[in-house]
Amino acid sequence: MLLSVLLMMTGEEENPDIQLLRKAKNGDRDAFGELFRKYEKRVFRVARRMCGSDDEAWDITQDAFIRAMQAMDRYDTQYRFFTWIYRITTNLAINYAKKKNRRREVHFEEAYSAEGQQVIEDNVADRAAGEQLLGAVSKAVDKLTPALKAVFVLRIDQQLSYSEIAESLDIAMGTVMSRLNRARVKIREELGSMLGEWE
Amino acid sequence: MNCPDFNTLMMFLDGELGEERLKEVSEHVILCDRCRNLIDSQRNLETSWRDSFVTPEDDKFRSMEWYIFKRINRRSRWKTFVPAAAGIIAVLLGVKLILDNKPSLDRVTELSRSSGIEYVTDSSQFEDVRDESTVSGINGFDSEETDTDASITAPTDHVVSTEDILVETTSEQEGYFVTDGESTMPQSAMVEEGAGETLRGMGSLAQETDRQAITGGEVTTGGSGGIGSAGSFEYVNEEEYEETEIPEEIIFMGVVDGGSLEEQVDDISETITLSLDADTTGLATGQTVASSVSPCEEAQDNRASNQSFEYHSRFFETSDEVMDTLKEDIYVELVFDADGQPDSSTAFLLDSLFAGWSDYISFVYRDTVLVIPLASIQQLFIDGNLVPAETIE
Repeated sequence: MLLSVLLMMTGEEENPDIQLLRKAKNGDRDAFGELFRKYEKRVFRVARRMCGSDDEAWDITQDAFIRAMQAMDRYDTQYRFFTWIYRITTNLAINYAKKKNRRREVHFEEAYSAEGQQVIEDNVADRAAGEQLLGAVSKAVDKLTPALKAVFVLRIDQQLSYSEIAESLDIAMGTVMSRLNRARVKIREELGSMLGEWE
Repeated sequence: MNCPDFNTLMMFLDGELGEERLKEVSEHVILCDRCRNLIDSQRNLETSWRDSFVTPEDDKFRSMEWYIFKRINRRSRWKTFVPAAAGIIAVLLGVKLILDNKPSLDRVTELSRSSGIEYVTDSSQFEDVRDESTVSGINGFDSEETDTDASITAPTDHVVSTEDILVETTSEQEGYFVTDGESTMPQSAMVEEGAGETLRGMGSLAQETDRQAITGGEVTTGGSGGIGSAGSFEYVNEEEYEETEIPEEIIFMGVVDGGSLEEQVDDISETITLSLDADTTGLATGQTVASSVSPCEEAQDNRASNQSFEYHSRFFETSDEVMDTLKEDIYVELVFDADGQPDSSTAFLLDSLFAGWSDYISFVYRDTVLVIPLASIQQLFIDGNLVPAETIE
């Protein structure tokens, strides 16, 4: 009974993810597997959307789960687990972006330019307008600053609510709204005439 | 009603407007083509972008799941094996000196002092240090014994204390799992029987934790003049040992300077090549990099016949093109099992280091080729900057 009360106080009873996390930390392979499979693809998606390559996304995904396990004792159970793992993931992705060395950046920029060139060539080749637009959108998203991109990715790709984004990124709701708005405006500016006129 | 601003329309699209405002905007959008078109175009744009994502195949996630769990589990148990890890470094240092043919006691002493290692005189001293939970190791071999069937017992007259070599680390040293191209696969699956023969029993390793001691072992050299591999470590107190949970692996991690990361190399054999030939001692020797492709199997075949190796890596010697790219720090991880046996990629690396086959070693990590100058790895041993990976936070 006492244990039950304590669990309710800490919120663990309502948070099966934390129970899984704790079991996993203690070596429960099944618990870890269940938790990992529940979030693996979401974490990878966020990481991939935030960074420049699959390899980086895999590294970020791996690090995110390892850090979640390591930092379990610091996890505030009043928050939902997925917002916490998103926070770790986005922070890792932002740090990754900062750490990219110059050579890699050059490579990325070259690849990026090549991709842009490909888009142009694709236009010439009369590929579907939708694909052209998609390529342009991806390019525009990549150009966002990490802070704007994180909000955009969590909203559009993960379809989180504003409050969930705020919790995930540990920022105010107003900040979420302003960043999301700026991200969308910037993307539309990048797309320019491809979107048609609207003032 | 005038057209709402862009932000309001986007909040409408996101379903984030309050009830009253939602009603107003809804009524407006129904009547206003311009706002409706904007919302539709934005919705289409974002939906297309979201749906364009291609999720990787499930087996990649399964491999990662396995690796993460193992890593987390390993971290929770590493501390009892710091002494073992330190002992192994001490032994490796000794092996290095033997194979360099300059294992004078003075040299051992000099290096050991520089790395904070002292060496014990003989196994009787283990009893003395055990109570102090001090790591003890034996080192100081005679190089001339490596070319015959001689046994190497390793009494010297110094005492091992290894804490110093385990402390240096940085926050940068986390995360990478550098092995042989199957990085997310279970390490145990990659350990080949016979891999790490050059380490097995190389001198005596004594180490002590609260509950266990490992010591003993001796080196005998191979029959054809190759590096010997006979002998093995034994546990001093088998009864205590049986009660002790032995971790599957002991991991060291270090950072070497002047490495290289080449991204997205589909076929390493087209990029870095080397042919290896067996020399008269039965050891392979590195030859100059050529433009031709030399499959890993060739190097394998050239190894001493009594050893079985399966490597996904290869040696190569310096080339100008490679040198130009060697500017990055590379994370190196050496993996040993509880008996002190290295896994296949670790054995490969150590073989090359100790036998002086070549200047650089390369690994494939996912689609990335890691090029590591052996001298830098060597320096890790000498400097004592190779640390148990589990200490890295």
